[in-house]
Amino acid sequence: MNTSKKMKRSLVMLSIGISVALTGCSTPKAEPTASEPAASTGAAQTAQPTAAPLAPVELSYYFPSGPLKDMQTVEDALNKLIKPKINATVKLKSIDWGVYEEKMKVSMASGEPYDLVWTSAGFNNYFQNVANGAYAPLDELIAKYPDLKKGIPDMFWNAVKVKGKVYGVPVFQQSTAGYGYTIQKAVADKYKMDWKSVTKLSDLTPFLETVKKNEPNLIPWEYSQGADPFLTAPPMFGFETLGDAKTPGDLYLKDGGKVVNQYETPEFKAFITMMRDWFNKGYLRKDAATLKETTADRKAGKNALQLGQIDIDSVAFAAAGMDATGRMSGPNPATQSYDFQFVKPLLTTDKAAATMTAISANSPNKERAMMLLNLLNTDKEIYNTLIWGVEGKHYKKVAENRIETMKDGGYQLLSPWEFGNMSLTYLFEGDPKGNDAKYTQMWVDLNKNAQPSNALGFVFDFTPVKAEKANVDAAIDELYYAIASGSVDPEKYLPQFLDKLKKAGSDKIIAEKQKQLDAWKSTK
Amino acid sequence: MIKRITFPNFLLNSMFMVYCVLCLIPLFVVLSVSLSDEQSIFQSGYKLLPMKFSLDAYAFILNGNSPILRAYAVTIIVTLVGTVLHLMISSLFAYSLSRKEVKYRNIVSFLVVFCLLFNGGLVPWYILLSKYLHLKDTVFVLFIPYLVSSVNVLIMRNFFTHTIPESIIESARIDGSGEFHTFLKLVLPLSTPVLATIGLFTAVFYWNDWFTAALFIENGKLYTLQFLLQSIMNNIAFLQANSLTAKAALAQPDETARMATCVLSVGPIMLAYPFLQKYFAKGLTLGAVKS
Repeated sequence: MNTSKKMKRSLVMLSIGISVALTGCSTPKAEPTASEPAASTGAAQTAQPTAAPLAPVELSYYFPSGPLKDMQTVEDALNKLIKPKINATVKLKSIDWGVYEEKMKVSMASGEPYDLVWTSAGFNNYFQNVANGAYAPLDELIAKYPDLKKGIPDMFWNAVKVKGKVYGVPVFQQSTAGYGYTIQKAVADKYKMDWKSVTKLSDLTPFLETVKKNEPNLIPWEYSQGADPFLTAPPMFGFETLGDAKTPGDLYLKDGGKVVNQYETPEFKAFITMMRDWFNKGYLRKDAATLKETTADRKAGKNALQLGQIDIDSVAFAAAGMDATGRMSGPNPATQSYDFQFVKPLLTTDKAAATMTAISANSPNKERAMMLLNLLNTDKEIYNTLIWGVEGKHYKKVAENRIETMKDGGYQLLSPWEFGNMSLTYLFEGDPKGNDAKYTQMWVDLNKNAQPSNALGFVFDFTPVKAEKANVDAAIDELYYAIASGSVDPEKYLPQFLDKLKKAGSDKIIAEKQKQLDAWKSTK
Repeated sequence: MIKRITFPNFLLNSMFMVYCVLCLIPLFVVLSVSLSDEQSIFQSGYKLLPMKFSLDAYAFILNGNSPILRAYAVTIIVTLVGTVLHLMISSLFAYSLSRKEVKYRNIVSFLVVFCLLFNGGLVPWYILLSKYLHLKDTVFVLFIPYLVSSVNVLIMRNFFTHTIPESIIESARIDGSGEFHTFLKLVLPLSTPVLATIGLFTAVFYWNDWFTAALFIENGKLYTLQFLLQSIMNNIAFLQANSLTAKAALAQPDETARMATCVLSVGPIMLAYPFLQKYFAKGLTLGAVKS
C-alpha cells in the first residue's frame, strides 16, 4: 500500500513536470497572434476621424541600464503621453550594463526584430554595427522632423555619418572634451595657491611640492592606469587620437594631415621626464604604475590634485553667478574642489558619437520609431518622464526647472545622457546650483562653439592591422605605465619601449592610419 | 576504544585547525566589510571587525531600485523546479541508456557524447530558444534549456551500469515488477549517492546561473538573484566610471555593497551544503570503483 502511494506521488510529480514544460512552450506562442491584429483593428477604427489614421504599434526600445523596480509605472505614464500623439506605445527594454554589448550582438546576429536601440562609438559599437548592416539609414526620416534636426548642431550630424549617410541620432549632451585639473578646495585655500594661473601640467609642480611638504596624509598627484594624462587628455599635449588613444598614430592639433607616432615626439619625452621627477620626489603613490583605478582614494578624499575632464570650470561657474566648487570625488560631498580648465574643448568623432539612438534595419515600424525619437528630442514632458519618472512618486519638483530625486522611489535612471536631447532635462541635485536658466545654456553653447577636430567624422578601421594592434597593445601594457608613471628611468626604458613598438608593427599601423585618413580626406 | 593524544596526532589536528581558520578568515572579512561604514573602509582598509558598524550596504541593496526579494523568489523556484526536473529527466534517460535491452542505445549514447563535445554556439542557441521555442522573457527559459546535461547523463549511466547489479533487476522482473516500477522502487533508492551529487551540482548551477537571465530576460520581474546582484555591481562600476552620470544619485556604497552582495548570494546555498555533504562525499567515488 505504502509503495503504491509513493508510486502515485511520483507519477503526479512527473505529470506536473511535463505540464509545466508544455505550458512553457505554449503560452508565449499564443501571445503575439492573439493580441496584435485584434488590437490594431479596434484602435484603427477609433482613430478614424484624424486625417491619416495610424495603426497602433508597439515599439521596442533597447538601452543599457541598471535594474529598476518601478519601470512599469514609468512605461505606463510614458505611453499615456505618447499614445495620443503618435498612436504607438513603447516597450522599454532595459538591459544590464555588463551584458548589453554581448546581448545586442547576439540579438542582432539572430536577426530579431526590434525598433530602437542605444549605441555609441565605444560601446555596442555604432560604426561596426553600421558596417554590419544592423541599422537603418535615417536621412530621409530625419528630414521630416526639422525641430529634431535643428536641436543638434551640424557638426554632430557630420561626425556620425558613415559613407555619407546618418544611421543614428546623436544624443545632444555635454560632448566636448576640455581638460584641466582639480584641486582640493581646502588645500588651495590653506596655502593660498594661485590655482587659476596654470597653463600646462608642469606648472603644477610647486603646488605638489607644497602639498608634499605640509600634508603628509595626502597624495599630491593622483595617477592610475585609468587616469594617465597622456592617454586620457591628448589635447593637453597638443595631440588628438585616431582610433584609440593607446595605439601609435596621433595627429597634432595644429597640423591635421600627418599621422605621427606620439611616443616618439618631444612632447612625450618632456611628459615622462616630468613624471619621473614627480615620482622621485614622492608626489605619486609608489604603486602608481600598477594602479588600475583610485575610487577608494577619491572617496576617502586622499588626493590633493588630480587630472580632470573639465568642460565648464569653477571660474566660468563663478562668472555666471553659480556655485563654483566642484566635487573632487564625485559622490563624496565632503571633499570640495576647484576645477580649472586649461585646454580648450575639442569635439572629436568619439565624443560626438558617444551616445546615440539608432533604428534597427529589421524594424517593422521605422517611421513610427522615428516619431518616438522626435518626441524624445523635442517634447519636454515625455523626455523628463522617461528620465526622471513620475512626479510625486520618483521625484519632487523644487523649482521651475529643478527637481529632487526620491531615492526609494524605485526609478533612478542615472544615465539621462542615453536619451533624446539633454537640453530638455530638469536639473537635479547633482547639477550646479545658482542659476538654473543659465546652466543648460552654458553647456549647449559650449557644444555649439567647440572647435571641431581635424578628423571629425573619421573612424579608423583596425581590421587590416588587427595582428599588429594586438602585438602593440601587449607591448604598451607591458611597459607604458611604468614609464608614464615615472616609476622607471625614461633614459633607459623609452628607447626600449620604442624598439618594442617598432618590432610589434607600430609603423604599419601608422602607415595604415595615414592611408585611411588620406582616403577619408579626399572624399570630403 | 580510548583515543590517546599522540604527538603526530596533535600536530596533524592543529595543522588542520590552523588551515580551517585560514579558510574562515576571508569569509569573516567579507561579512565584516559588508557590515562596515563605507568611509571607514576607505580610511583604514579592511578589518576583521567592523570599525564602524553600518547596515548601509544592505539597505542599499535591499531597499534600493532593485526588485531583490522577487529575484530571490524567482531563483529559489527555478532552483527547486529545475533540480527536481533535471534529476527526473536525466535519470530516466541515463537509466534507459544503461539497460542492455534498449535498442539503438549505442547510437543514442554516441549522440550524447557528441553533444558533450560539440555545440551549436551561442547565436543558434539563442535563435532556437527565442524564435522557435518562444521561451524568451519567460520564467521557463531559466530552467528548461538545462534539463538534460550530457555530462550528468554519462555519470548517471555509468553509475547505473556499474553499481546496480543486473541480478536485482532480473529478480524484480521475476517478481512481476514492470520496468517503470523497477526503476522507481529499486534503482532510484539504490542510487541516492549519484542523485544527491548530481542534484547538488544542478542546484548550484541553477543558483549561480546568471547568463541565461542576462540573455533572455528583459522583464525586471523575472530577474534572477545572481543576475540582479551582478548587475547592481556592474552598474556601480559603470556609472562611477562615467563622468556624465547623475553624480548625486550615485552617492551609494561601493566596496561594502560588493561584500554584502557576496553574503546575500552565497548564503542560502551554503546552508544547503552541509545537509547534502554526506552523500556528496561518497557519491562520485562510489561510481568510480568497479566491483
